Amino acid sequence: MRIVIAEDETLLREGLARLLTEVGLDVVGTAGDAPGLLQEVTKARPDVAIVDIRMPPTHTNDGLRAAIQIRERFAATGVLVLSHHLESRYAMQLLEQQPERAGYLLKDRISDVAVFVDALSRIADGECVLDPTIVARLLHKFDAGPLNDLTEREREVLSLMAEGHSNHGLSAQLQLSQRTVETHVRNIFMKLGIPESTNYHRRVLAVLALLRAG
Amino acid sequence: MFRMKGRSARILGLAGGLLISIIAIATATASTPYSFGGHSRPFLAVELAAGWSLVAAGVLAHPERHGRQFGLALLTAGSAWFLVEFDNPGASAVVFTIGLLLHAVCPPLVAHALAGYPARTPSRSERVVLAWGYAIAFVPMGLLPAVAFVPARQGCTVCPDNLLALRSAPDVVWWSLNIGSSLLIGWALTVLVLLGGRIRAATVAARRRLLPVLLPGVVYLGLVGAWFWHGLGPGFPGPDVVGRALWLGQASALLGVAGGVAFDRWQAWRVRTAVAQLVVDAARARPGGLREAFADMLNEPSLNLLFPLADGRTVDAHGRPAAPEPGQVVTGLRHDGSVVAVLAHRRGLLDEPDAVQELTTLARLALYTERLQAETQVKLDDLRASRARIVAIGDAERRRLERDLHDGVQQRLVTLALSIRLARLRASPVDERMLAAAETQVQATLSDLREVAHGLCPAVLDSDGLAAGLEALAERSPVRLTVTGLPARRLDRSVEQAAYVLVAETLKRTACTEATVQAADDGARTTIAINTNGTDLAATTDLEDRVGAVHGSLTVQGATVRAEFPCAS
Repeated sequence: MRIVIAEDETLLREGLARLLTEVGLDVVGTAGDAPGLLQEVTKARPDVAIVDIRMPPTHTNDGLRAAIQIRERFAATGVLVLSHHLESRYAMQLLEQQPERAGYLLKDRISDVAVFVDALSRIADGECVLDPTIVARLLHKFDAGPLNDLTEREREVLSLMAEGHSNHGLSAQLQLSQRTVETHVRNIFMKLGIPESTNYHRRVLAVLALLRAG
Repeated sequence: MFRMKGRSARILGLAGGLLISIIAIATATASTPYSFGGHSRPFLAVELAAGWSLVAAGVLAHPERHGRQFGLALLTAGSAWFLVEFDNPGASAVVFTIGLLLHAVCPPLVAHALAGYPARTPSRSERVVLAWGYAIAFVPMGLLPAVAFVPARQGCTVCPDNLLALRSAPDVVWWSLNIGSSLLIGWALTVLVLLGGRIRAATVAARRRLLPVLLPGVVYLGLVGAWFWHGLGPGFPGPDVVGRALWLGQASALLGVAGGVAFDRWQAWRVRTAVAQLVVDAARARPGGLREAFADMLNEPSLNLLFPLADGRTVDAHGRPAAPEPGQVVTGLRHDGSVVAVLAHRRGLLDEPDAVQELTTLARLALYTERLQAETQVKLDDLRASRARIVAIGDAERRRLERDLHDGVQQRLVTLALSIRLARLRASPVDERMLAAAETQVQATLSDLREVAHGLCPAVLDSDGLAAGLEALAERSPVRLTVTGLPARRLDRSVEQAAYVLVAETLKRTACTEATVQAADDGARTTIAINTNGTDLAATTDLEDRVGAVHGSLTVQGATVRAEFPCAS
């Protein structure tokens, strides 16, 4: 998998590049600010760009805007936005505009190599990924709307879906049969009123419903 | 002392005027064919009205408002008006002689009065012209023909004796009177030009005072010129139709002058009563009332009343910073040597220092009241602004700390976690366990730090506004929070911050499980009503301060909190 990293803190950028290289990923470019990131992506056309939400020039949410731009201009490149903020709002801003090949993780997550690399590969596969902590907080808050109708098990399935797990991953994590998982997923779609369509798209819509409920 | 002298002079003048008018009437009625006023009863009435009204105007004239010489000159002119009747055949010898000597002194006296109106000192050239007028009236028109006129020898058999006659010289009389009349015509024209020039040079406001008195004066002097022109030949204007008409015109013009003085006195009285009313109203005056009263009184709507403060600022009655408008001039209203207030007005409106002083004296109490109100308001505004600045500095500091935590400490901790992870990849199993424990610690620290940073100032509140901030609050807190009616536009940063703190603290302090935040925004003010199912909110002083610092107001009823914030324009 070919990766571009955008992060203004040099130590962190280099450390992340080394870590990803160690686990066998191909870091094809790094950048320290939003314009540099866009240049690198144009040049290298990576599978995924890892983007720090807060970057020069304005140090607000330049990274988020750059990520949305990348998704608009390069259909084959996914983006993973790293943030310090737990609020679902920024994640929502990203996923509402670009629900596919996009992810939003807390920055702390990068040292958790397994989760991190898993998220990268799922984004490269076209799915969307939401940080487990954010998902947990959102699920904890459901007490209104259609999410209220979900059973305990269905909530569990939805939260794992939001973190980017496939049905196969779900059955492994929850130790359920593939068929049971599929039934749960279908029930979730039905209860949330998500119409029949391609599988990826429906999963993304379910995650968005989760985000909106927050 | 001077006032006493002025008063006795006026009483003397009044008595003299009465005496002279009685003699004049007696003479006029006794010399019907030769007299102007003696022609008929209406003529007599006009003659009396013109003279007495001038005398009355002279008595009425205010030494400070109209000038010290004006009243006396007008009073004397009123008496002198009757002297034209003295040199008539029906008079006694003494009266007849006085008449011969003084019959032409009325015009110079009127000119003298006008030159000093209102309360001004005639210029050097004006004084020369006035003296020249008196000289003509006394010498070629008075003394010279008088000494050379023996009535019985020069065809006036019905005339009484001329007590001044030295010897009969008809040529001297003729030449003297004709040259005197010509000089008087030239003199009247000169005075006309001078008065006309003064009216033209006056500002609009000053002209309002000048015209009622000076205009009839100008008409009078014009008619005097025409009258003496008509008299050229015999040397004095006779009581024929044209002569009488011109004489009637002069009487009317003099009535006009007296009327002008009365009008001016009435105006002054009106101002005084209006100002007196202000003093009475001072106790219940509202800010700005004095400006309106002054504007009304001086008939100038654009007038401004400003208060210069000790620190150099100038404010209006509401304590708002204010300055004279372009084209306005300022006049200081002084009391006890310091400027209590300044009036900003059109040029020329308040040219007389006496009028300004009178205004200040009468309205002093009201002026001080308004000034005090304005000063208090300014101090209050200053305090409010200072409080808002202190809170704003605090808020800015919290935002900076929040950013610093993210960009500094948090970033380093993430890098540290990453380094530990890299080290773990090559560590021995024993080291690996220790490093794993260290990494867990770092992750926990990161999580704590995130809470601290969020508590300082939620990033979304700063970047996306109040609605986003409250959304984040709802996400974090265990309370079921419903937010409605928040405007999509960004509010003032300080208002957003205050509203956020208010909601967060209310949720915390009422220990509620459910709460609604209802917002309403009409463009001018934003209202936030918080209803909770928790305990009553006690001790809200700090929240009131927080809301008050952004000029908002807070009302608390049990567990319901309502705040109103003005929108910054």
